[in-house]
Amino acid sequence: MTDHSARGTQHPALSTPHSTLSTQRVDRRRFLKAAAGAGLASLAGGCAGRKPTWKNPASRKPNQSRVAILRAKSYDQNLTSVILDGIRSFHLAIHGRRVLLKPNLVEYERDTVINTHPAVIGAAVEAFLKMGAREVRVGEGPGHRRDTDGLLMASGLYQYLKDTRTEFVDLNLDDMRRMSLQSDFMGIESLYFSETVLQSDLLVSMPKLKTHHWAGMTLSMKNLFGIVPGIKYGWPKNFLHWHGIHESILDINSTVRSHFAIVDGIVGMEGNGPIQGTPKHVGVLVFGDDPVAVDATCARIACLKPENIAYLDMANRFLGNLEEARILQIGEPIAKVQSPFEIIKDFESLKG
Amino acid sequence: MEESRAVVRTEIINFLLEQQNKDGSWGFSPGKAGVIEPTAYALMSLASEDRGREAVERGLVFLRRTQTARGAWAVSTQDSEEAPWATALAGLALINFRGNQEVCLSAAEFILDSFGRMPRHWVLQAADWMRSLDASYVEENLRGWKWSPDTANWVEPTAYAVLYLKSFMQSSAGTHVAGVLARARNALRNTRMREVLTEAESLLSRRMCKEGGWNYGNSSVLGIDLRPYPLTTALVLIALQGPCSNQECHKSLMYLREVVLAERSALALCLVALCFDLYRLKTEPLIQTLADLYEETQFFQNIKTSALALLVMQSVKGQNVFLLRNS
Repeated sequence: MTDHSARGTQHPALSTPHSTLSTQRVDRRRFLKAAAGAGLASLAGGCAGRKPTWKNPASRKPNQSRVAILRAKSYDQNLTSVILDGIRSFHLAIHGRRVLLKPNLVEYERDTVINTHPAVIGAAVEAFLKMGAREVRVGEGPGHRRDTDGLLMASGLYQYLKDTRTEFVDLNLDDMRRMSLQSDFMGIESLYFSETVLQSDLLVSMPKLKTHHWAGMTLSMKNLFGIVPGIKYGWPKNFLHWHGIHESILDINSTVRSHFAIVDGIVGMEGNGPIQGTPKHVGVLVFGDDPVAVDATCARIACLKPENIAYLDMANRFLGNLEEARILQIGEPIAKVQSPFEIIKDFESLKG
Repeated sequence: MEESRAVVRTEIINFLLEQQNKDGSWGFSPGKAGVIEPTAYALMSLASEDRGREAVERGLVFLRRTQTARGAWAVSTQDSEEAPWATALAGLALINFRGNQEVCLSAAEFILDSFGRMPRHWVLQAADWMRSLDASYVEENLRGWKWSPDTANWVEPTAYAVLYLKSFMQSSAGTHVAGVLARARNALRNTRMREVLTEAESLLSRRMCKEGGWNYGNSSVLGIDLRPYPLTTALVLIALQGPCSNQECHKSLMYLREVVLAERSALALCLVALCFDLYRLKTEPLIQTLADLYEETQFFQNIKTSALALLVMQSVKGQNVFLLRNS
């Protein structure tokens, strides 16, 4: 299947408000088939003979990656010390640098766990300041909500930001700059990105460990959808869906590098994520400087096969390491913290 | 209470005047590049403030200068791609000032030209055509407006475009048009505009959530109903304003009344307050919450929200910028 047809099947399911359910299901099945199975071929094969490529700066797959899994039972414990331990497991240059934390702040609903918990964000702010960062800011461009102010208040993040006197940047409304894409999966030449992101010295992706009903899982790589400004691409950022979620994840991550990832896996989300799923206690924070390795490890923690997630499998070719043999685990071994995540029927193939 | 609100009002006006960029535009927050949306709201809100005259003049010059040859605006000074929703907002800001008829007309024509369906694969299009031969067929892919070209139609850009076209029709009604040809062209355009508005309003109606109100786009995904949001619901009700005789309007207003007291977004509260004012519902509790939020957060220094809050305060005095006279 060409990537053009893969994109085509995606449109109605993602965008048409009044498609019948059966239409949505057919389109969804076709898309998922393309993305999860033959979709790898679509990512690799390209449209009408166009073979997706990546430029040299995007080729950053190391020989060996490291991922740290540290236990954190609850949000009430001292998370700053856990995060300090996590950061210190890596050779990150932090002193005197401008750090931007990019959490996942999507939506707020009481009794569910959609967002990166404010306690994790607050602890990360403290940890990076303790490590000598010149400045730590928090930035997010929510995917479909325009009222970021309401999300900040309702999610409780506002209070943490106030307590730690941390500046928040709404990346949807930020100044923006057009960047040439460093890989060619979406079939376009450039995308706009938030200027604050581009000017930060250290971009830290801080996703929630969640399933995703279009992408399989949403982790540190998918989290970078939030650095693409809504003011240009809308609410939701339908432009990215239109060009393929897997394709967009790859092009964004090849163009803007997140230097570090801290995944909030204390309570993750299983089932119909990223919004309507069910809370799932795992009790870990996952750290790493290779986003592919971090995301692959998180998938394994959820007992899902990362190589069956189309964008991760493709990212393994140039952006980072997916194979377990190439990832040195620090802290807890995966087997000790593994907890099977429920997943919607369409993604059964991800189960091991 | 009156005194403290007067202080808030003065502070907001000062903030807006201080934050205007040299080119006459406003960004979303201090020091940011000009964006059409905050610029449009700042202009609408300062238009009736004596202290705002000079800033308004500079803002109008900015808008006239940045209109493209096709009558459109890009979303920001950092972008050049024409955007119908930004064009609608620029038009709404310009329409109440004298001497902008041509500018507003070309904006309306651009918006009309960008009215369209969600692109579909040719196979699906052929299937649609086959199904359309059946008398019971109901068109699902209705036309509307998009955030980005060649993507799907969404609630918010469609609501802005509907509101602008209605405002434009209202403002141009009764304008003398000289010449037979020009009058014929005018009549044709008005007919087309009415047709477009009917279909766009129908798209908005069909996207209403089950419990009333609107989400950003779909009312359900994968068979699961999505919940509405106060912000989008208020915006659609503002665009659809008219006698609240239909069920969707009642249901949606009822939804808003239920949820708005717990709302903590100043942006959403501003739009709901302007909407309630149009539908003659009480706005006082919302204004008090807004004042409290201002004290706590200064609206996060967001220029659009600040301008909208000023518009809310003006609406209390009978000046609702979104009011369509013949609604």
